[in-house]
Amino acid sequence: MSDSDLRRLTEVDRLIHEPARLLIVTTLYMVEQADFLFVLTNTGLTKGNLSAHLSKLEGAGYLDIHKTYRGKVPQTLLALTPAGRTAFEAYRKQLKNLYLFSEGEEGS
Amino acid sequence: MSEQQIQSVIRNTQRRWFDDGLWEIAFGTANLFLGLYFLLVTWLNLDENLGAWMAALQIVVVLVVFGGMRYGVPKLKERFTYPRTGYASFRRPERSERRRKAFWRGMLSGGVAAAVATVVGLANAVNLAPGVTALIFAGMCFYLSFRMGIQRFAVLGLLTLTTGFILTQLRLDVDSSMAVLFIAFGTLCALLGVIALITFLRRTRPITEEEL
Repeated sequence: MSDSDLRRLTEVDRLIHEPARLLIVTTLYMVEQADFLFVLTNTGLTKGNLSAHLSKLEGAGYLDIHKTYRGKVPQTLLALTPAGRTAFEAYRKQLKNLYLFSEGEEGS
Repeated sequence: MSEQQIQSVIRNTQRRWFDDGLWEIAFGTANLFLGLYFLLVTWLNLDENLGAWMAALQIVVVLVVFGGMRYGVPKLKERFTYPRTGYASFRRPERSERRRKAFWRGMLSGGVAAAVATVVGLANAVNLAPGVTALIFAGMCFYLSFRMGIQRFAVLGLLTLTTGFILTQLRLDVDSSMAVLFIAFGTLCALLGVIALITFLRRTRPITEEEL
């Protein structure tokens, strides 16, 4: 594998690569949409931390945040955008390639 | 985070659907009603009395029971689950993917049933229909247990297998033994669901607006 191939492999999406954000994106990848509480209980992050990461993902166009009401209770609905889904799939593919590459290096 | 950890998060997220036991309560109740319906059909001898209408009635009963389940589970989740652990609508596979999976599941179930029935026929046994059906139910339970990592499904599978085995030994007629199997499976499934629901309600509490 050439240096440029290797560089391409290691150029992972840093926005998704951050562990807390990866946890959020993985959770949201499995659902059409979920509310703030669901993601909060599934990830175990604090409210402030989760809010900050959600803002970053929204800013990158990976996340759609929609404020609504469930009965009389306010609800924040979260859903990955098509760009967010594609970025996550690309990230996983890249991770698998890196793993296969490292396996190959160990074998040679 | 490695690929294995990502898959673990995915599995945990999928497992959340079963956290509250409501699906088992609904699925168990649906099977319980089907079993009671089969029992009623046997007692009232509806097969002979209704003739061709019987098939139509059966389709209506199945549609009503499982349609009710599809309507009821989200309503119950709205009441018990969403205020405690949050709302999520899970992604359904694409239509083509759903058809492909349904086809292979059908082929697999049919294949297992045909294989067991052939063995049974060769062994010249009397009534192993509940045993074969229990095997299919148990297979579904073990698959769910393995896929989601939920042990109570494996327990349900074992209990269903035991029930099926006992029913094959009782030498009841096919209709009655199938009715009893559905009733037993439905009751066990719903009971395990109730236990899961009680545990869930004790473990969690509704989150107030101020807390969010």
